[in-house]
Amino acid sequence: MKNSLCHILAIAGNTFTEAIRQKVLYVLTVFCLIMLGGSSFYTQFDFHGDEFKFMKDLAYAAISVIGLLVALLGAAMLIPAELEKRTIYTLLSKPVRKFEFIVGKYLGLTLLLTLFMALMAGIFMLVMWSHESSLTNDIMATSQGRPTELQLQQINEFRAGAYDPAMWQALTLVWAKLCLVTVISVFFSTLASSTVFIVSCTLFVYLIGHLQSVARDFWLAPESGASWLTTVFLAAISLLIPDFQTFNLIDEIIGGNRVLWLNTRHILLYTGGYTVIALGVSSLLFESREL
Amino acid sequence: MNEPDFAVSAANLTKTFTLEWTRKRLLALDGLDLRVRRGEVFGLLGPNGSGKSTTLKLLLGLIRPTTGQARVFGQEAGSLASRRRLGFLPENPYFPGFLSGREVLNYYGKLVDLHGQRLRARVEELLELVSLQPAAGRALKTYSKGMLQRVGLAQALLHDPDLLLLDEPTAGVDPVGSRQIRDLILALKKRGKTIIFSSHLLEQVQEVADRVIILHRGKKIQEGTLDELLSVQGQRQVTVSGLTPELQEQLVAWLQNAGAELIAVTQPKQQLEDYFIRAVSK
Amino acid sequence: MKLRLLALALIVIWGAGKVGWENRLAAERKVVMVGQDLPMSYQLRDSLGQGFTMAALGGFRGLAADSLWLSLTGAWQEQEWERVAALAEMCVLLQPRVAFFWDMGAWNLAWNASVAVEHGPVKGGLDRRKHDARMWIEAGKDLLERGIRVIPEKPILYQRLGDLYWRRLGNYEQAAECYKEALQRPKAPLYLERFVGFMLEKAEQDREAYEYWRHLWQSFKEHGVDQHRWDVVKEHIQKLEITLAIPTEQQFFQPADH
Repeated sequence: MKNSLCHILAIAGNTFTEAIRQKVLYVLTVFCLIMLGGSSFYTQFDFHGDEFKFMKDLAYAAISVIGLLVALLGAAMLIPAELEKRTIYTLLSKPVRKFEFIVGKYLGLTLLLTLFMALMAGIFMLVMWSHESSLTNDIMATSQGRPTELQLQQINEFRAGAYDPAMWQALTLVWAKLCLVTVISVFFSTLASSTVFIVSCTLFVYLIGHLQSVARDFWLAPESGASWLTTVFLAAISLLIPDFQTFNLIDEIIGGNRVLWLNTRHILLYTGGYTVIALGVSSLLFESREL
Repeated sequence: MNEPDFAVSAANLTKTFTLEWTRKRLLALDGLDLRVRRGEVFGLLGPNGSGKSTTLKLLLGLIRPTTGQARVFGQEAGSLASRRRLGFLPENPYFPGFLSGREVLNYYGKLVDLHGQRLRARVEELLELVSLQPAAGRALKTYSKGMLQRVGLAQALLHDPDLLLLDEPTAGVDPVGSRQIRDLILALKKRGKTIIFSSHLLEQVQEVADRVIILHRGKKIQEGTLDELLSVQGQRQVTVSGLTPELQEQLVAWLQNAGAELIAVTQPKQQLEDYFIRAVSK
Repeated sequence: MKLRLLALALIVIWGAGKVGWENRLAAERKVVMVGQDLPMSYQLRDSLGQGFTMAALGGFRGLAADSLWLSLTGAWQEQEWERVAALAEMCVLLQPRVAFFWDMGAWNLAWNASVAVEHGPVKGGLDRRKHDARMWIEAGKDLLERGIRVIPEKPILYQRLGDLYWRRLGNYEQAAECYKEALQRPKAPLYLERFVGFMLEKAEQDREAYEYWRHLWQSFKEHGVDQHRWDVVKEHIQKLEITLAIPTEQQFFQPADH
């Protein structure tokens, strides 16, 4: 038990150090930074302080898209490389179980994703806070330090927009969503050794996952009147594919609506459950795979 | 429970691969019987594609036999218990290039359950053994092929296994490196380790192996000690010095009278490898 | 083979369990998104391109709405009011729970569009212009009223509707009602308290206005100088007492108080 944990941590650490050596990661990071910088593009327009909504939309989209690529490519590049360069032979000639390899890879990639997101989130917060302080300072300057009632209200609105604690909630959900993408990509990399195959399968599940709730509703509707073939198809989608619509609360949070941490915790729990099962299934399939 | 006499035993080991698209079946190994005694240096010989790597993979449990069974020290091949007692050097070992020799050994050390002070001490010990200490802090991508091979050997030895599986240990290594590896194998044999290695370079096998099998198209075609396989029955070779042409004539005539048949009179030559080693070590 | 069957069994058992879980999460989500039309209406799917729909589904609805808003700004600059209205509709369809789109969409229609057709270089007689201007105001009002149904818990849209009644329709009574509604919501700006009074005075309901100001004063114990602007309240009470000819002894502020 203790040995397993040590093995997993060693593999996770090695995966992480290997991942941060990938050049593509730096390209993606730079790209994301450009997009975050681009969010201040909105500050050219006068939105009466509502530009924080626009900045947040763009930043969350940038972090989601680039984070998606990080989550997708991590497993899809590193696990096939391990097979292709036959480092996995060296690894599995040691008293290491295959599930330790799978879980270690997953944890290493999750660590990478977490640090990437923390960095991007931190930079975005700085962009937003500096915008807030420049707006507030403008008002203070024009009113010579004695803002009117209306201006005070505006300053409060700026503060509420820029220092909204719910942003961390939204980031947590984006992170959970991308962790789920990572585990799916790990799952597919236990089935095949082609990066293109893994990326396209994971992307397919990601896209279908956003429609899964529609399929599920239709499947569970008592009088859908669908043919048995359709029913089987809908059932397969409902049973196999995660419901990515669950994470749509992100939209609500950025839109400025209160979402309880309780709901967020439920979603995290769901993601955790899915992760455990997916890692278990991946381990079983990898165990049965000949290398 | 008494330890079995054989480090490795396999009976009727067969492996067929089914090609993914055509569903064509490929017989990679055909009914191999294999017994390797403890302390033996055992060579698996054969041309490319003869089933050497398949045999090693079966012993590691990376693939499962279609029929038959392989055991390592009495344990099922591939089981955790069997892997605790063996070390493996893959063919052309590859390691993450950005790690240094020391870091990569530290990483693999953790995977064989070494920690802390014991791990550090063991890593230094092995770096010394494979004479990599001066380069231990350098990134692996600056290493030569022979150095990588020695790193591979060191990682196989981390947990001091009783059995070593070496896949083409000298492939692509220059003669000096190749001799170092050969000397290491002999040193390990002295310490009572069992060594199984595969090779298609026959002269190297000759120098270290106690026993060999020759595989061809997945089938075992020969097995035995080198003496058994290589000595030509009914012939003897005599090497003398000071043999003048007249003396040689007399000797040949005498031999023929005595009823022996002369096959060849040749001049012994230095092995090129020996010559090369002596030349570069001057 | 055995392991693969085990894996398959695991997937199916998990799948059966997770469907129930997902339904529960979906129910929770609907509670959060009160008033939001889920699943997305077919009208929305038709009005947007295929790629857009995917982006909207993929969690980038906010970004889609934002870029539509930017094109709305372009349409406004080119005075294409029909396009402004259509784009505002799409924004609120994509993100109905974002007050900004209802608020600014309505402002574009009831102010910008309406003023432009009334005074701008548009052909037609005065009656026609007035009719068109009125139509845009009504469109803005309609947008705000629909927005209020989707986001009933925030003061902002009530406040804007009040502004619209006041400045665009001259319906001060309705404006006062809207400001009162806004004040009942958390975080309403305090100056709306005074707006109610101003509107009642403008509607020439002096008696109601007087009662309102007095009530406002009495609802607070402390009357220091703060954001409630008690000086303004006092001033209006005293002004109305003159207008309404309230006898000195019945006046709100007796000399003994000070």
